Amino acid sequence: MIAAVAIHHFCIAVEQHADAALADAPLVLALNRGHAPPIVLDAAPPATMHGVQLGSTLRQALLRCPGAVVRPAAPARYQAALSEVVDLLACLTDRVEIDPPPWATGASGTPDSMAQIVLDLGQVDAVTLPAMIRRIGQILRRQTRLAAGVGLAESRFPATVAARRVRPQHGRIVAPGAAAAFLAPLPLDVLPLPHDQVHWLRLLGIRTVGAFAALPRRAVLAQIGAAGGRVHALAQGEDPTPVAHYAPSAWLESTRAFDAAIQERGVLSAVAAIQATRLGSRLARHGQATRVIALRMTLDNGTTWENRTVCTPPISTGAELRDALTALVAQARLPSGVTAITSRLGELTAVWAQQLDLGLIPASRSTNLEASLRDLVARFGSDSVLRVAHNERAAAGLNQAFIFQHLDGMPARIQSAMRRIRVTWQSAGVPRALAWDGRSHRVAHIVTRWRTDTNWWQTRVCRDFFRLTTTSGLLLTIVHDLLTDGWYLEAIHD
Amino acid sequence: MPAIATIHRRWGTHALAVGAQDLIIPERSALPTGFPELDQALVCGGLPTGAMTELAGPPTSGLHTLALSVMAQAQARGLPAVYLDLGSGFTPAAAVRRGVRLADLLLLCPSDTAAAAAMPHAILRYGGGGVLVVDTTAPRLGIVGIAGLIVRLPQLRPTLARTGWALVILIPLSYEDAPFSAVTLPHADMRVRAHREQWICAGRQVTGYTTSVSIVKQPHGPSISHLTITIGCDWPAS
Repeated sequence: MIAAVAIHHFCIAVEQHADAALADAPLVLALNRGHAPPIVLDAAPPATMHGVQLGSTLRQALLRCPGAVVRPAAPARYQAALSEVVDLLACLTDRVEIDPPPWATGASGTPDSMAQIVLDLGQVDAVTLPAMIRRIGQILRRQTRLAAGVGLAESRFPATVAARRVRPQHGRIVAPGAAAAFLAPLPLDVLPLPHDQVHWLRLLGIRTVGAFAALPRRAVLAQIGAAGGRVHALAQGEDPTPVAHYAPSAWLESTRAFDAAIQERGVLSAVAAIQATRLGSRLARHGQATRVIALRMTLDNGTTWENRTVCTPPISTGAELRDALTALVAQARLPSGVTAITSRLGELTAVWAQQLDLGLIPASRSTNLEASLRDLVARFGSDSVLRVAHNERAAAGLNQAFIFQHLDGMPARIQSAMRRIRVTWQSAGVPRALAWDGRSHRVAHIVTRWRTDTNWWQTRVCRDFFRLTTTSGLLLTIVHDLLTDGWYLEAIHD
Repeated sequence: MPAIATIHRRWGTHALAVGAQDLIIPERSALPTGFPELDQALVCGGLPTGAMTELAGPPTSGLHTLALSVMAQAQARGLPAVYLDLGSGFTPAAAVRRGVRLADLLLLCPSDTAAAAAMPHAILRYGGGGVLVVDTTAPRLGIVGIAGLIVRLPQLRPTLARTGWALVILIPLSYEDAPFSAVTLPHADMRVRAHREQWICAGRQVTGYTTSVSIVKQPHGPSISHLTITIGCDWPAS
């Protein structure tokens, strides 16, 4: 199955994200074309309501909307932002591609306000398709706040058409085998044909994709040529174009420019630390580590300072990146203030082996599980592999009767902790509703309650326990700490 | 028919079967779930080893009970049980109630997506057998991290198929989702859905609940079969 994600007014969204003051403004992005007059690359809805059209000259746009806020288009910045969105979606599949970016004019010669990303999800069961659409929408909304339309189909072209024709935050599934039927009633504009050919077909009485698809292919080839033959196949729902493998850039970069030159190293270290955290999360998303860390600082006297460090073994966590970058900042010789700082990671490697088939170790070489545990502890730390034991000095509470230990028996840093929750209660401290997992749950029935009051002479523990059912079907045990007046979730019984 | 006779002569009488009566089921070991009615409905008699099983359901549907029960059954057969906890889904008290021996249990707590994706491979590549439960129901890694992990799990199948490990993935369903609309694992060998039906009460005490279990997919067996199992809540004296 192919998923197409269409982000409306992507360039506008990038500009509005960078400058919150542009949120409701009639923003018009002007694309500079060298000697030719600048044209409108994208326009926010308040501007298009006044009749501003994409592809029109800036002069025409200002005539229609005199109050338009004009900004020069920055395709490099939009490309970087789009690459980050692709980076996010690459967690779903390694076949992700950007359809021609919005600032590339299509067959019609007009820029496109939509950014489109195509994913090859492989074999997906029909019952999971709606949830896959929801998942893609959630990833985009939570990480970027972009609202996108999602189309799912067996091939690329029907999926992109479905995504473009659906409202933002909605999805459309084109059932397997139904691509031709889906495309048939649509107007010819959805096909990648030049304007004049569309006009010519309309003159011949062919107004829908279905009517075009019903034409004999030989006739289409004779009249339009080989390109028309391909479009004819698209009109019939056939698009064998594969989705390319996602190839992330060889270097990961994060740049911060300053309005005024900065000379304080503490500020530069703090900015480098923030960049390290961002880059670290990108490495973690793709299971990568880096061997080369470079820091470049642009000075206000026009010069550039750059230094790099090689890491052996490769590092992947934000904390390690932070240490490396702040060390580079400390080493820098800065004769004047810094106007921009760029952190770069190169020579990226996979953290885990891709060739899983070659990794099966014969049992005769090691005692199986012990060897794998030693391997895990060596790679991820002693807190990653734990045993659970009864706590001889148990505090009151079901799970405080247990402690987590390292393999060598030492207590682990992470111990079972009750999660704090918000509870509304009636008189006498009886819970009425609680908030958990982002929603409210009304208490249906309190199965049982009991109080524990222990450890009087050490650290007193005085808690009320409620085992209850909710109207949403949960069976929980919650705890009211009478000393701190805090409510906690002890366990969800599943 | 001469064609059938030819096939029988060349490949043997078992080459063709009518319906599912004489279907030859390749030998595959399985771990019992601890619920006899569920084991009877499963063709292998339990969760298959060398395969990936997906258990999905909303909270209080019996997901963790099923997983812990399988772990207890594995330990009873002398096999290791490993629990990969991506959040705070593991409850030691519940594990003890289901018969899991804590002294023989291994708990994996990855700190990031890279570790979460590498740990199952690190367990499986050394071969052997047991049960490895991956709990995604209360994730710390966030939706992108979990999605990334789930997409990479099918890469384990070639290695998994050559071991005696049963890989069990717990997947949460939200309350609004219908039982069959969850995002499921690509290429899972077995898919099971659980959904709580009703409480079992003794007076005002909830002593358990019945769960509707749907076997959506299983190797060499009928899919979409439904049954009801009873899960008792053996509360400790409080």
